[in-house]
Amino acid sequence: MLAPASKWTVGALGVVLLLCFSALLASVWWQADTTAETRWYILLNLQLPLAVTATVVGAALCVSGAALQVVLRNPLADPGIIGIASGASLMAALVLILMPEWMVSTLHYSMPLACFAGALMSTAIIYRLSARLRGLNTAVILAGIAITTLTSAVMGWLYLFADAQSMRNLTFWVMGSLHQADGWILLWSAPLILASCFLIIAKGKTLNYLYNGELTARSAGIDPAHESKVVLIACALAVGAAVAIAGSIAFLGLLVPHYVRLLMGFDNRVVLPASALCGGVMLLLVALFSDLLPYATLPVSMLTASLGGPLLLYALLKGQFK
Amino acid sequence: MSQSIKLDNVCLDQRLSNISVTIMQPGITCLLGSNGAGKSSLLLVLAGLVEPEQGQVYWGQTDVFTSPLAVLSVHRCFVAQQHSIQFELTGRECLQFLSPSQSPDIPGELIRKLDIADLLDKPITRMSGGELQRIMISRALLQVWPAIKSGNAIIVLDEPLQGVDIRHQTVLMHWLSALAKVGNQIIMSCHDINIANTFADTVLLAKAGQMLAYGPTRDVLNLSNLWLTFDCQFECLFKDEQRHFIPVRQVTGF
Repeated sequence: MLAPASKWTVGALGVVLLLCFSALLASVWWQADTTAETRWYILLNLQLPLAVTATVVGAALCVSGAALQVVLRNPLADPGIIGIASGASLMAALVLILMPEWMVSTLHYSMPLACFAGALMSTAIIYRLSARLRGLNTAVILAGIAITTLTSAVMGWLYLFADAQSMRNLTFWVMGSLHQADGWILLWSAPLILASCFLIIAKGKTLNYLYNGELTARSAGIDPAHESKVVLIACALAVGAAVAIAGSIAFLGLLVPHYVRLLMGFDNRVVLPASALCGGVMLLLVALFSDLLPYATLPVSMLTASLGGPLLLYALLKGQFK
Repeated sequence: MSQSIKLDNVCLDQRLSNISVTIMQPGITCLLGSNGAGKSSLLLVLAGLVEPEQGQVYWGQTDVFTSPLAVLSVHRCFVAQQHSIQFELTGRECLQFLSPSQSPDIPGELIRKLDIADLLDKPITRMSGGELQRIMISRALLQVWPAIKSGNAIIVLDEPLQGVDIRHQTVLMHWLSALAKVGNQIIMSCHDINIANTFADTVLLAKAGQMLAYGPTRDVLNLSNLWLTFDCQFECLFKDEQRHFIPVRQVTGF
C-alpha cells in the first residue's frame, strides 16, 4: 500500500506540471505588438506543439531512465548514456539521408518507426550484454559508450556525404530541439509515448521486486526475464518516439530519477510517476527559458547538458553513485 | 501442516547427479557437505528456482516445475548465499519491496526475533555482513509470513548463519525450531556440524553432487559418515548427554 504522503507528493507534482504547461501557453500573451489573431495562431501552431513535446519527451526520458536503472541494476543507466537514444538518432539520420524527401514528409510514421527500431536494437544489445556481464556494473556503461561512439562515427560519415539541408537536419538529431515537432508527428508519437509511460508506471510494484536481484524476485513469484523484456521494450518505444520528435537529449534520464530517489526513497510506485512528472516540468522550464531569450532558439541538449554535467560531477564527488 | 518434499532422480549438469530423497515434514533439515558438494544447487532445485535437467520435484502431490511461480511463492521463501543490491535501499525498503502487499509495516515478532529494529532505517551499504544477512532472512520470512503463521511454509535457507554472531545465531535457530514445531518445513545448509546436531531433526550429507546419507540427525551424524563427507576425522564428546563433534586432524589433500 502506498503512503498518503507519497500520493500527495505525486499529485502536487502533477499540479506543478499543469502550471508550467499553462505558463508556456500563456507566454504568447507576453509578446508585445501582436494582434489577437496572430497570438491564437502562435498558440495553436507553435506553443501547443512545443508544450506537448516538452511534456511527453521529458516524461519518456525520465521514466525510461528510472526503469532502466532498475532492470539493468545500474544506477548510472540512462537512455543517452547506454546508447538507446543514439541508436534511435542514427536510424532517424539514416532515414533522413537515404529516403527520398517526399517519402519522409508523406509517411509521417516513418520517423517514429525508424527511431523505435534503432532504440530497440540498442536496447537488445545492452540487455544481452548486461545478462552476460552480470555483476560487472561498469561493463554496461562501457558497452553504452561503445554504441554511442559507433553511432557518432556513422553520423560523422553521414555528415561527409550530406547536402546542406540534410546537415542542418542532422544537427537537430545530435543537439535535440523541442521546436521541430509538427502536429502530424506528434499525433503518432505522443500517444505511443504516453502508452509506454503508463505501461512502465504500471510495472512499479514488479520493478520493486527486481531491486533485490533476479533470484530473489523469482523466489517472490516474479519472472524477471519476462518482466525485464516487457519494460525494456516499453522503454525503447518511449525513447524511440521521444527521439523522433525532439532528437537526442542528454542527462535528463539519469539525473531526474537520481534526485527523485534521493528525495522520495526507492519505491518505484512513487519514483516512476514522480520522475515522469519532474521530467516534463524540467523540459517545460527549459522551453520557457528558451522563450524568454530574444532572437535565439537554444538547442535543448545544450541547456540540459549545461545543467546536468555539473550536477552529475557533484553527485559523483559526493559519492551518491555507489 | 506443511507438505513433504520429494526429489526423484534429480540431475543438474555437473552439480547434482541422481538425487532421490523424500524430506518429510515438519522440522528442520540441515544440508552438510564440503565446498562444491552441491548444497546450494540442491536447495535451488528443491525450492523450485532452478529446473533440473532430469528428474522431478514434488511438494506433496504438486509437481513444482509445472506450477506457476506466483503460486509457489505464497508458501516458499528462499535466502540466497550471496546478495547483490546495487541501490542504497534502507533495511525497511528491502523488506517492504518483497512482501506481497509492499506495505512498510513489518510484524513486531519478526523485528524482535531477528533484532532488526535498529537496521530498518539504515542503508544496506552501511551494514555489516551479519546485519545484512539478518535483513535478508527477515525479508524472506516476511514474503511467506501468513503461511508461517498458519504453519504451512517451506523456508529454504542457503547458509543463513554466515557472518551472523553467536548470540543472533542461537536466537534465530531457537526461533526456527519453534516455527518447525508448528508445522513449517525448514531446509537449510550450514557448515557448523554442532548447530546441525543441536537443532536439526534430519540431516542430509552431500559430496561431489551426490547424496551420501539422509535421515534423523542422531542416526546420520556419526563419525564414519562425517569422515566420508569431509575427509576429516572427528572426535565425539558427550556433555550432559549431548554430543559435540570436534575435528581432530586433517587427513587428505593438505
